[in-house]
Amino acid sequence: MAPLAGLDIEVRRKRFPAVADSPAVEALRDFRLRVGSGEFVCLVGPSGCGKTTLLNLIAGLDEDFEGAINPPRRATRIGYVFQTPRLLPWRSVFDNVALVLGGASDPGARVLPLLAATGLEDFKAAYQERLSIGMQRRVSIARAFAVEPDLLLLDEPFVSLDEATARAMRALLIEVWRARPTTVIFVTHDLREAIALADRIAVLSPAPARVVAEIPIELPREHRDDEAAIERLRAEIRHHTEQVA
Amino acid sequence: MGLQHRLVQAALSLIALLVLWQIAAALADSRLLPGPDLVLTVMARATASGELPYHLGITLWRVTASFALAMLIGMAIGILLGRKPGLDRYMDSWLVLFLNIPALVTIILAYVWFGLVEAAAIGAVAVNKIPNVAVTLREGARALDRDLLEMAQAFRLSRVQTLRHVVLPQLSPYVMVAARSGLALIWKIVLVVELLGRSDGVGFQLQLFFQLFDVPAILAYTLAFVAVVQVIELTILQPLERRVTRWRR
Repeated sequence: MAPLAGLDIEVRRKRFPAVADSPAVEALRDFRLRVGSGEFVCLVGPSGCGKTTLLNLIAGLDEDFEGAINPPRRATRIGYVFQTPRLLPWRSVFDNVALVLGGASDPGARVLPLLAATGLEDFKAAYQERLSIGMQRRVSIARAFAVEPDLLLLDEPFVSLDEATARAMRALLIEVWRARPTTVIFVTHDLREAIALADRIAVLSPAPARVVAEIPIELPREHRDDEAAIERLRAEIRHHTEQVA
Repeated sequence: MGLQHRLVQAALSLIALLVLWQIAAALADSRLLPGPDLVLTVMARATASGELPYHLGITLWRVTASFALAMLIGMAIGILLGRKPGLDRYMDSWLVLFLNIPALVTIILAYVWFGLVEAAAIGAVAVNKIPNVAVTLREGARALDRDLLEMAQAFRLSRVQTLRHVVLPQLSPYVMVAARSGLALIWKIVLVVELLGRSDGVGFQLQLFFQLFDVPAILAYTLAFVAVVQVIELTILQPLERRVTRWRR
């Protein structure tokens, strides 16, 4: 499979029909975004604005929408880190990661380095019930990288972790990603998190979501723990978005 | 509580039952209520002659065949109905109907329509059990975790992989329930099938002894059969259940 040349997302409309007593919801309208090859893009938007819906469209889990995503799902190998780890509780850490490799002849050669990179080598035989939520999330990240994805989707993967753990996980994600570069779409509602990670931030409107601002982050990742620099960027992004909105 | 302790307890309680039985037989003093000593003698004799193992073996083969058939077909129907609500609404009344057809009616009709043949016997038993399995597995298939199915889809697991590694493990508690109740039901119905239309098997023998009012032989065959079913439960079903739930704390 050729490496992903880039991703064009155009969702003219995505609505969920009314069911029972909840009315129809329009999740996305006139959503356009282009993601370059190997680019790390963060989508930032208020909770419930349709970010998860968008990732599910890109991942091909939901094909009922008006618009087009190019290249289509079938031509892309996708790694997906869901908001919850979604591990199979009856499989060990190793087996959870190995499962997505299909029938690879030597799964260990691909799984073990990833478990080492995510600090899980001592837990490869453990079941989910014995793992902390932070460790389960690391397994979920290792699994997404294991397929050697052309496109990596992450849906608020560090939400509900304490700040120190979340920071360590972000550093880990960047480290693993640098060793295995791939195109990334990372969804979050936390602007600080987006600044820490992204090459470019796309700010979304409340539902129905569309992109209201795109801000490249040129600050090298090594300097992104500099409070003053982060505050400047936050102020700049707020200014941007308020103008547009 | 240790395994040993539990075994001792079970043995003591069985011995108590045997003693009670012996006392009752002594009080009744009738050839229609033989004591355990006589029954055990008959059992030993029938085993030595090869008659008991022969008929027991035939019955066990019928139990196995109809059990496997019922589980396979029942699971397929149950999973399908649990995943396709439209089809389920349409087929639900069929299931209710088949659930309520008495076993005896299915057996008689199978013999009338297909003759007194082995396939009719095994098929009739399976048909009796299929609706139960289907209803149990339908519950399980309805409760499947959507998040995990999406995970399988996002990572493009094949249908077979998804079924084997994502779906079936979630269904395993339901499969165990269906298997347990299935075995309990099927081995009783198999005896009826044999009594009505076969010329071998435990059911056939029981009918023979009934005509002769040979109570010791009836009890000997019954006890042997109960023992075998217990052994199956202990050596196959329980270890299987431990295996499929070993990931639980």
